[in-house]
Amino acid sequence: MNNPSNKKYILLGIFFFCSVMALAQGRSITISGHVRDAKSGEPMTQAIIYTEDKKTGVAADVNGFYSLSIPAGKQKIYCAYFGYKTEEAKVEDVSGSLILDFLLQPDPDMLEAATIFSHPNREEIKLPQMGLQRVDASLVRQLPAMMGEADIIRIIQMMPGVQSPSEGSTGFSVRGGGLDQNLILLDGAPIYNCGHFLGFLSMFNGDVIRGADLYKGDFPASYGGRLSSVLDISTKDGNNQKFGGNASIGLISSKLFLEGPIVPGKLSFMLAGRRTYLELFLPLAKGSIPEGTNLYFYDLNGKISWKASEKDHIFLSAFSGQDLLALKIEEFGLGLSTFVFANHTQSLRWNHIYSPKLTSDIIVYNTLYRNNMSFDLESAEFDFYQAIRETGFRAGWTWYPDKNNTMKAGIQTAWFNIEPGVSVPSKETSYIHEVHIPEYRAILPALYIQNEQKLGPLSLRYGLRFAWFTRLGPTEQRYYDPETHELIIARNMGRGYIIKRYGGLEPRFSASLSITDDLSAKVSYNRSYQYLQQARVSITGSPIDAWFAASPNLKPQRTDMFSLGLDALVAKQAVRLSLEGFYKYNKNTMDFIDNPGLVIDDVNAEGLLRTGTSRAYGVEAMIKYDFSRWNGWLSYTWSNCMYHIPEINDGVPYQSPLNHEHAVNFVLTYDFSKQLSASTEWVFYSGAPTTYPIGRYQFMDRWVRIYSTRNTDRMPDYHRLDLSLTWRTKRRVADKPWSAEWNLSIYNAYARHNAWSIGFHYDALTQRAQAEKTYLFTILPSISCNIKF
Amino acid sequence: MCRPHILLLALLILVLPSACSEEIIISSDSDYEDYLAVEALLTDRPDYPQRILLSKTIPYFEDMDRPMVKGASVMVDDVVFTEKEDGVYVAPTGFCCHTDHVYHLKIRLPDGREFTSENSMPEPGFELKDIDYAYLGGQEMDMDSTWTIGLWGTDRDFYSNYLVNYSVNGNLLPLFLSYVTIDHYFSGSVIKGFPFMFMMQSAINRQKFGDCFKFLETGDVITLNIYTIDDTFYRYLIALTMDALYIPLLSPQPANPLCNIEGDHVVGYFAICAHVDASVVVEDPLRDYFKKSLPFF
Repeated sequence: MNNPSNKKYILLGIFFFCSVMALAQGRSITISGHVRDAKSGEPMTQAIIYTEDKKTGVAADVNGFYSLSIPAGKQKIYCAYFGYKTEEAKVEDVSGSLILDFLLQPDPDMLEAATIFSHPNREEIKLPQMGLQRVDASLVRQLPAMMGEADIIRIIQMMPGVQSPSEGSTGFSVRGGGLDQNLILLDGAPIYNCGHFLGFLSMFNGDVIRGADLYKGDFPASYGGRLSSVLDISTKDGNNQKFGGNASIGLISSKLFLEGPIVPGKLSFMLAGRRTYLELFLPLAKGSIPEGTNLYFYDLNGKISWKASEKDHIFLSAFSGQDLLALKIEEFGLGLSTFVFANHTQSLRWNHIYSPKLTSDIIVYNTLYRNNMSFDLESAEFDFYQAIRETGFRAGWTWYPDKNNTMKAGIQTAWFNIEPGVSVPSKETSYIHEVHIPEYRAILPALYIQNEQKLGPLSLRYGLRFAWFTRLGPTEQRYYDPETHELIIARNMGRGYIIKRYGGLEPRFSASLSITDDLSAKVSYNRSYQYLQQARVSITGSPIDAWFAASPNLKPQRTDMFSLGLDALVAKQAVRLSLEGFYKYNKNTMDFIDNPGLVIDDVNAEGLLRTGTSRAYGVEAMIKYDFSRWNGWLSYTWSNCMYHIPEINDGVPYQSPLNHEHAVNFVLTYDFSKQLSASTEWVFYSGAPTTYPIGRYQFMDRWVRIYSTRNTDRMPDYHRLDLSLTWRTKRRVADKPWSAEWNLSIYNAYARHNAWSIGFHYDALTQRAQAEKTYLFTILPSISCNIKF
Repeated sequence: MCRPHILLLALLILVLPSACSEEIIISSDSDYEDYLAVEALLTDRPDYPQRILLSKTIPYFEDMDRPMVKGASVMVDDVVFTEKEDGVYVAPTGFCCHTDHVYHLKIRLPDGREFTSENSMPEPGFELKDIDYAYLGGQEMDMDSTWTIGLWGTDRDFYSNYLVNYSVNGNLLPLFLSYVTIDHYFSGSVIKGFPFMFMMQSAINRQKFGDCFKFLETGDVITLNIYTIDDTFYRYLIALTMDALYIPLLSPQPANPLCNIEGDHVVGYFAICAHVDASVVVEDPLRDYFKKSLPFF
């Protein structure tokens, strides 16, 4: 029994026993189809399809597809979605299967301005899925925006268990995890750096987002490769009924969004672009910013959605975004030098319905993140380049054998090509030598199988995932002594040479017990591996932080997470209460040694990493309210995360720098009328762990700080209030309706000087040592105008 | 200036104008304890006094001078360093270090505590032949004027680390404003007129740090000093530099630099550096090119 392989077989046995038991069911018919918005043709994720007696129901998936097995006989089927009229369909006495599509009309009785939160429903709380947070596109536009930029990542950061590493950052930490432990997918393509402006704004244009699902650790078996969360963002398909769009002008950027049918009902497109114009204001800052400075970003989203047949839907999606920073500092002999950070993704997705009981989802994707830096320093001109590229495909099948089971299985493969850094002289007269940190390749195939099963009041989801990672040549592989971490040898490996393999089973299990129709208790266990990880030198993270794949020197990280929770609906299902506790144990957690220096171009950076274990635990509580005029949520998180890396901090466990012990988020939106709505959000974090100096001494005429042990101190607490007011007008121009939406946002309304960082200085003139906090923003009002046509 | 410094500078300039700073009162949850601070930097310069400084650490926010440690016994191998001032221990005249020898430092405090270390001098990595200056401009970014010092010489064909500073008329740039660099990008090259050091002369800096920051005038003598240092001392100094600069987007978690001195409650470093220097006399302070790069030189 102690043999690990025996345990795998036992797990597999239990899995298939449950699956086979699930198939022993009575005679039924299967109804399947899509739920779409009647006006735009957009799929309606999470629309509920249920029988008249409300005993049987399902939620539509991310493509708006559903499959519902019901007993044979005459039935009435309903389809409901908050903010839309409930549609009814009569099912005659058919046998076998039936295709039934729903087109939902917006409910004119609902306030047009109403924010469509993920409206709580009974089906959702009965799901075994834990730690899932859904964000709808309308919420992104409704909440206060920083610098006028509606940003889905800011909303994600307001969820319980999700924390921002620092003011203004678009990174996020989920349940104590690192910023690299979040798998961020844009239409299925992974994103390696989702920030613009050094991470102050996210790359996700609020106009194009249809919705997002955040899984905080209890992943379905189809997801893998990250330890802490999956953020699955889907963009709009484009209106397949009529042309339309938005144009918006903001404080720092303008956006244009167009959508419409190419072949009505069959083929549609979506195209969106955003460009900042901050460089126009830079001349105003003459004196404080060097002449020649330029700073802008742009991004483009495009999507084509083709309904090839009733059973086939094909989506082609692409994103391209780039940041450019240009500097010229003649006083330092620095000519025009540029920094470019760019993200490009493409994905091609094919949804196929084999039968009402069997569907498939196949996606091929490519993603590229790169940095280019070009330095024009006299006699030392050089270019620096870093890139990470992932190309992959995922094929998944969903089978609805009966009303109580939904089985999923799939195969996936990802190819990685990582270029840690190349430095080349850009002029013949440059004294800089070419430095090439060896690039390398890796492949990560995976298989998974999962079943969701209803057993009376018990809903189960159990699955297995198996991934095996292979690091491949050609590359120069460096080997470090595991004790001293000194370089032993650097070997040149040929193309296709297998340098190292890792793999492991990832069991996933969750269960939900419906105690009453409105109360469920949930439990889950999840194991995940992460083979590609980012080691951050700085606490806040920067666009040049390096990614490290598992190697002969670095084992992949592994997490085992247990969750326990309660989910309840009260106040006529308008309020959802949830309480979740979690415990995570991570192996091979890595961190840099003390004072690693700037590792960006260090060929031996891997030798500066040390590994150990980490534990995170906490409790998350959330009250989500959704009434006709006002809605929002209040959440509280208490959490702790400790690293234990024997070769760091003298082997004494220390706090994760990303863990805020207490976090409170409050969000409220209120619709005064169809024209006017307001929203507010308040955030509180207790200070993040940090290290303060306790003493000082002089060395080479300078005062050198003596620090306490790592992360024993805490930054000051953080809190902030944001406000937003949205006013809508409607007009008809040339017989065409258009509407304008004005949004006034105030970020940090009470102008609190929240510490972004704390630095320590010794003033030679006053001969005083002092602590100085840097804050990024005081009160930050912004206005934007969005014209919809 | 090496590449990381450029990167640091660029990001610093971009990030900081949008941010504001203010003093904050903080206190650490950790208890402060006294440490012995050792500054033992020896060189191969026979004309230069070889000194070892012993002092005590102080609580971070205490306003006080560093307390020097008097009455200690300090030896390098069997050479006794004599206390010339409080806490300043000086080697006998003519003592200097050489390559291919391991030097042993031994410190004994009046309270009986002992501290030891050993180190050796790296091979000099740079053959410095000549330097020149060029005016780059000024009156911007709170600086009065900036000059660059160009370098002529040969970087030897092995990886080296350098500590670089300059003096004007013998007034040395404070050591903490020196910079450290690696030669991985120009190792083995013959260098002709490479702008290696920038002189950011300003009235404020002159007030704070002395005449090394004076506006250059005809007749001034600029001297460039290049010290070859070993890898561990390079990392020690980089740690100090990164900690002093503190750029949140780039700076690592604060930590104490590794000390190479054995003993209880001790900080500091015992380093031995190989030194080269070259000087140039200022003829036309506003000359904006390296005269020595001209064809007839």
